[in-house]
Amino acid sequence: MSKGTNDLVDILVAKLKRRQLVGSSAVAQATLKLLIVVISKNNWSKANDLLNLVRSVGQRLIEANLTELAIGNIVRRVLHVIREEFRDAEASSKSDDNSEFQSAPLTTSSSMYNLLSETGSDDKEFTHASSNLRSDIIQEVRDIRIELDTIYENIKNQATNHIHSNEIIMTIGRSRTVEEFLKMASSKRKFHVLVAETAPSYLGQEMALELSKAGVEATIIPDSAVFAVMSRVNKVILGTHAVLANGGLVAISGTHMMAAAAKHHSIPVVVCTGLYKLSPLYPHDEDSFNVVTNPDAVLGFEDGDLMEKVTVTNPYYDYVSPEFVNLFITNQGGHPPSYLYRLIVENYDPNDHSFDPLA
Amino acid sequence: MDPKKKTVGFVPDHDADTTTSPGGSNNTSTVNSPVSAFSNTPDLSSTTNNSTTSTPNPAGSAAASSQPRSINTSGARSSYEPMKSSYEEQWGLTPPSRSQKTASPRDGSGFPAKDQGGSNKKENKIKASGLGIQANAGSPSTDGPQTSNSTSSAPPSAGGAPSSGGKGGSQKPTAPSQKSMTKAERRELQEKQKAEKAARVSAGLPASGKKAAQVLNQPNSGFSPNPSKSLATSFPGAEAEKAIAAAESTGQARRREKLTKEIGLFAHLDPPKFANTALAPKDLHPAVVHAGLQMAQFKICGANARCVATLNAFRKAIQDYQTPPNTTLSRHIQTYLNPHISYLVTCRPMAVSMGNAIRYLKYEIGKNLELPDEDARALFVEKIDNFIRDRITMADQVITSLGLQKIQDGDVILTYARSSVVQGLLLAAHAKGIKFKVIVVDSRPRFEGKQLLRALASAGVPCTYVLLTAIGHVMREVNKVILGAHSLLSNGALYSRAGTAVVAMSAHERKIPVIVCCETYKFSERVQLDSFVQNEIGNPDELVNDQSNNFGHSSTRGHPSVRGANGGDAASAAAGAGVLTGWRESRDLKLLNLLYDLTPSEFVTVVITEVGLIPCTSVPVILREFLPMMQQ
Repeated sequence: MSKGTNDLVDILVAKLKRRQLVGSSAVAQATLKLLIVVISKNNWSKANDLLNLVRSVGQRLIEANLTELAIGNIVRRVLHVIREEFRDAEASSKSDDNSEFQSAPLTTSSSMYNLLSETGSDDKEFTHASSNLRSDIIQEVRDIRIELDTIYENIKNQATNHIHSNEIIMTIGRSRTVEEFLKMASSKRKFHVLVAETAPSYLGQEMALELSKAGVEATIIPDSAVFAVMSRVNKVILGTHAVLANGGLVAISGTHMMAAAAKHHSIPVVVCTGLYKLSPLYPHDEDSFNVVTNPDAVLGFEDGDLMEKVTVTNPYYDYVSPEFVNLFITNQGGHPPSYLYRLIVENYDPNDHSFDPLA
Repeated sequence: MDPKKKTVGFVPDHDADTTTSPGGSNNTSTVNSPVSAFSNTPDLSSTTNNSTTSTPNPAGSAAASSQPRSINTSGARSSYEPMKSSYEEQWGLTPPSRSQKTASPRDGSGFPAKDQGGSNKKENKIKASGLGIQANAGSPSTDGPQTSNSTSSAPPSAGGAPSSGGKGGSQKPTAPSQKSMTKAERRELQEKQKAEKAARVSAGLPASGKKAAQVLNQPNSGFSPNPSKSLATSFPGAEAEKAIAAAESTGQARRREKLTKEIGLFAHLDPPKFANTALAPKDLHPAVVHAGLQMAQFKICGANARCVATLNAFRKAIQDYQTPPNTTLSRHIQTYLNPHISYLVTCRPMAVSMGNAIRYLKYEIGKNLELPDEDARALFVEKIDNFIRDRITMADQVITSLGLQKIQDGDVILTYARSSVVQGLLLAAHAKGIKFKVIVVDSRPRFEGKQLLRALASAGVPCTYVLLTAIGHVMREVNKVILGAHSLLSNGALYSRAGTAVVAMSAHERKIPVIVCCETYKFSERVQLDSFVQNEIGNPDELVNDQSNNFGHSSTRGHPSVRGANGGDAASAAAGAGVLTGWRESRDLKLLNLLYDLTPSEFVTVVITEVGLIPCTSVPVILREFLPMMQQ
């Protein structure tokens, strides 16, 4: 790796470690930007060289902040794009010789159509020297970037399909996706939003304030009132930090409580998320992707005498299991949780689920 | 066990949780204050009420809190002179002009209670942070002049008396025209609100007095020149109430909506109430007035504490009652008590426990119509004492002993907010030597669980403290959930502090047993299916995180580390300004502070009562036993 890009990687790693850069969206953008530089500024001739290069950078970024799953997702997307490009190139070169074979390598390895045919997942095939692949790959990665930029647009345009007039909607925390979604809907319909204030971060209060500024009728409720008012709610619309491969969510603390209350009352739970938050990882434990933050927000130093006697925890995220979610609204449309595996297959290569360097 | 002593446990001290003064520089001092308060507690308590309770021991404080009238009036009066301003502010007894002044930054639409921060809060903190009970004991007794003033005179004059006692001294310049002054101010307030809701210039006392005099000449609308009404201005929230009343009187429905920020789904519930003796008829017994005010300000909260306070107040009222000519005590006492009861309702919606106790009292009165006066008086007093002893004090002891059987070594017990019974049970289990761990789950806006945490931690019980949002995170290690109750309804639903339902649901979801501790006198024949039809709305401003309104809780400060996740408002949040300050100005923003919620019976595994461990669907079975009393 060239020294210049190495420095850039170091800078981003440091930012992630210090949590100067947090939040799925910001992290995803930064990762993608860095990877474009890595791809364009480094020398590589074979596919494997490039894959290994991106993997090693990705590995460092992921280890810098294990809870930001978006980093890994973006790296996997890029790896996937690289593989696809090499396959395309290979296919086109092969098709010169033998035109019968062109369909198989173009599709992804796990598509139903080539279950019985030769799979293209063998990495050895990507060792051919590349001609003008570099620009193609960079173009593809730029497309991912455009996708990231238009995610809010794509999701919010679906708003009117999901919100009807005079609806009561509940949400928690502050998610830009949900915020834009609701604001968009409010331009067409009149409805009411209940926002749980989400102690101790109080992001829900900010959310309600922003919504009310945009003319959405918003009511802040304490987190304790979530169950009490749930019976009158028509839909629960949630943002999330990450979506796991089983359809489970890693979302702001309190989401589990709200989703469970909604399930008790049979209220549909809708999750608005960009696909970049979809991770091919499975939660082996509910705390897998959680982070425990500063407990000062829960019990401050004013209660110093108490603090030395008690344990205070302040988990930032909640794990919400997939049975609580009815619908994911992504930039590619609405999907039930059971469909997510398909999206994972389409977007990521199974070889990239873990980042062990290639032999 | 002496029932009076027992009440100590019920008396909450929110003072202990009132908090920090605004401004960064004060922060250090507030952090230090609990420590210093701890190191020399006797000293501090003596500054609190040097003349009233000479020995700041729990027993003394119990007497003070349950019997505020036992305070030596004359001594208290003089000794309070130097620190009057602070206690007046603490109890919201600030003269009208002042409260208006403090209210003005938030356009007079807010509730001044919050703005009275600053020095008094800090002082409060120092006094209160020592030891819960002592701190609380100070508070009712500081109220001495108000109630005791009138105790020495005959009860009938009590209604108006506290007002003059409370503020006569501090507002001498305008004292002669005070009656008209406040009315005029009210008028002025109304005028200005009509004009616009922009900030009223707090032009100092004389200026507003002049203005007031001018405005006085105009024809008066809505308000009757009732002297007791002038007191309204001196209590927190009175401004807002007045404003609302003004808006109503002029038929401005839209403005009313703006002021109250009524939530459509809860439009049928009473708007939040404020301590306000203006609503009290003149001839109320001061003990009842006092209890009502304390309930309105949440100085006394919790079903047991409120019930005991009510009964104690009524006992005093009965003891001091003088039978009018041509009637007998037992025939007239009910008509005498009725305005007291309705006054309590105007202070805060009646707790189920209070309702049941009052019904029992009425039942006893109705049963003994023919008794001679003195016998009847003694009987009713005895019945009240017996009720407290049998249905509350002894019931709690039985519940504790039954509950002890359910706590074993190695248990991890989760509880929510604070229930006096649960606290007693956990402390008893610890005293018995059972090794268990407690997870205290708490929530905004009152952080009641902190009191429980404090009690358990100082007893040496290993505790974990989390907020309600983290319930999913902590529930895994829990193997029992023990909850308190405000009431158990006839359909088996548990009516309790908002958030209880979420806790019970989370436990139910993970198949963790949910144990509810509830005395049978809290059972209600009411049935309810959701949390809407019957509930109570709290002051929405409690949800605003500004410095003066965080109930001793630091979480309301901005935390850049946490908020950084979404960037944006981190800077403003870190500055200490609440996100919601000025929410009333925002047309589309409302705040809902719901006080109770309803837990469906399916979430509750067992209810521990003094008659044994029963499923919560057995409530009507138990109620049948008390049928004659309930039919009253």
